[in-house]
Amino acid sequence: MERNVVVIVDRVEKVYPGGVRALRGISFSVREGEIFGLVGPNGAGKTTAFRIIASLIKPTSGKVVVDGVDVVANPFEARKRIAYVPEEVGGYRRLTGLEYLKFIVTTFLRARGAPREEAEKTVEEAVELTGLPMERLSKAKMGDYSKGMKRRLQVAWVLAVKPKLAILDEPTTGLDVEASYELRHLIKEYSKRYGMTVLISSHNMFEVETVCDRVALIKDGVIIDEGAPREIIEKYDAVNLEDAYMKILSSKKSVYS
Amino acid sequence: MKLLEKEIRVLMREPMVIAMIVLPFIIYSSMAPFYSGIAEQTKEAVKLEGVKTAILLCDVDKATRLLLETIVSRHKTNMTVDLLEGCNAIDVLVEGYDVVTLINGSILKRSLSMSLYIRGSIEKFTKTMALPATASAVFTDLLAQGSEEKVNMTVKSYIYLNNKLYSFKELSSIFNSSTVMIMALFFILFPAASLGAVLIGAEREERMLDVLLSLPVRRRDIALTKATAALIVSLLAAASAIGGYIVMLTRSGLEVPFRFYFSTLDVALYAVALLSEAFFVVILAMLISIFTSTIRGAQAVAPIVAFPALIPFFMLMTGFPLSYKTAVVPYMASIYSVLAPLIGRDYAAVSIAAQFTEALIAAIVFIKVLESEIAVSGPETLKQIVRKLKRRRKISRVFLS
Ligand SMILES: Nc1ncnc2c1ncn2[C@@H]1O[C@H](COP(=O)(O)OP(=O)(O)OP(=O)(O)O)[C@@H](O)[C@H]1O
Ligand SMILES: [Mg+2]
Repeated sequence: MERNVVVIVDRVEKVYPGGVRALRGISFSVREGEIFGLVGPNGAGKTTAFRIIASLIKPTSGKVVVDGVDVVANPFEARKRIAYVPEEVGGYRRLTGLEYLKFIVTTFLRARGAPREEAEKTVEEAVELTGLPMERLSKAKMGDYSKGMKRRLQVAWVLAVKPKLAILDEPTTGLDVEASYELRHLIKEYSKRYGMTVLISSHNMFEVETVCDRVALIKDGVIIDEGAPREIIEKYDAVNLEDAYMKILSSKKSVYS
Repeated sequence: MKLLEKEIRVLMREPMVIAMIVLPFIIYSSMAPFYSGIAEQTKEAVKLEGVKTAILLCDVDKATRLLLETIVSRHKTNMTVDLLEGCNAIDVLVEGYDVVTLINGSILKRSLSMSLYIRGSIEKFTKTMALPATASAVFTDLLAQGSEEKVNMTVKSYIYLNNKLYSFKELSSIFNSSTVMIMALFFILFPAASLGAVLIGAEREERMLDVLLSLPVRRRDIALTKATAALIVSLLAAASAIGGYIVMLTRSGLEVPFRFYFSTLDVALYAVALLSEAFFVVILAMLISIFTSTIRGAQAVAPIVAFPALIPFFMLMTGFPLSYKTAVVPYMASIYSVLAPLIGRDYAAVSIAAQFTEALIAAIVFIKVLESEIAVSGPETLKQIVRKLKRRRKISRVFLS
């Protein structure tokens, strides 16, 4: 059975006000329940692409549709369907983790018209998903959390609210081995169980290989290859995705330099 | 030395700190016309230049009249003095005199009472408040010349302002009460500006702005809830400051007869005016804070949006440009409400309505900015603008290098 297409990115270009051409016309689409990975060197344009899809910044040209909603034309409707974890995680210094979860879960669910009990349950679920002790969440302020703890908090609420589309910009960066292991499994589990579509970026090729259904490799704002990890590995006759990644990059060197 | 250099660099690299340094000079120097206005009016009052006066002989004996005629014909001051008969000082004043001095009594009996009626004007308030002292000094001097012996003189001053007559004492006490009320403006505006700025600056500094803006919350709600929060807290701050101020005044035995001049309605009007200005200031503070990347920057620049509230205060001293045109200018609502007991409530109502409208317009602009990409990339946008300006005008490289 063909599943619905949830994300359509169509020839998206982005030139920042300073003149940097971060994206030079990228296109891809992601189906419902699919985990789509974006990989590429620093400055390739991954975060830019995610911020455009999350309706934070506007593309210079091109179109983004999420769950049938044009993100540029109707950002408010699109935001009801999208939950986003930015690359640089933060946190309200003076709020406890629990207060934060309550605030953000309720805010997100209210827009969807969910009843209060659902919000309460979702907060509990988010607390579980953080993997952090309740003691810490309810007593300590986010200002005292480590970067990894903050990230776990952000990913937890995003999964707990089960958005149509979760955008996770380097969700495991800075997490300890155990936490990133758990998180990878949670992302996969939630995506399969709730049909949640996930966009993920990462510099960890092992992670991408195990988590993503499909991967796009982006460099200098251009997608240079795209496919299931297995297909890519086979296509480049590589041992694993990391190996394939290195082979692609060395063959495509100096495209724009 | 190294450490100090680093700290200074950290501060000077913040564009908003530069703004904080540059803008006060521009704002204060732009107030120069007001100050020269004050100086000019005081000079006018002291020199009595061009002041048209009448001495109104009401209940005086013949000898006193003759003596005064002689004195007046010989007087050598800058003012013109007409000698008139009658007791109705207000009518004479309205005929076109600046000062009417009503005289009762007799120089020979060495008892004279002198009542100065001064035509006051909100437009020339400094002069109005200075005239009684200088005019009465000149008249006392003149009259003393006419007598061999020392004359017992009682002097009273009245000011005729907007069809109402005030004793000088009363008017200065209204003025003092107004000043206390104006303090409330600063007690609320500066915290409001600072708190509005913090609420935006903190989002960016704590790296939560992107998350907030990606949530399904209307920009209007973000703007208005932040403004409301800042207003509530600044009201608390203002309440504490005003409370402390009142304790200070009462403890020190100073009487500020608010109740006498300001009815409950006037106080309510003033409160609404304050609120409308505070709302305006909070929105402006949030708007400029969009361009800062840190709480430090936001707070440094925030007072700038509260500064212009000083201007009407200076205007009051220099001569207030009383008109509906100036009433609709931003930051004028509170001053027009303070003046309501003197000039009526119509101006205040217009001024408050205008201030609310301006605050709403500012809020709409702010919401539009939140909807645009500038919300996310404010500090970079500012850098681009500065860079363009630098290229165009070749501003010295000292700034923002
Ligand atoms: N706000 C901005 N203004 C101007 N240029 C920007 C801005 N943000 C990013 N860029 C530029 O756009 C390009 C793409 O950046 P982006 O952050 O999207 O890369 P990325 O793939 O996420 O990199 P990384 O792996 O390091 O996170 C870079 O050249 C970057 O310098
Ligand atoms: Mg990135």
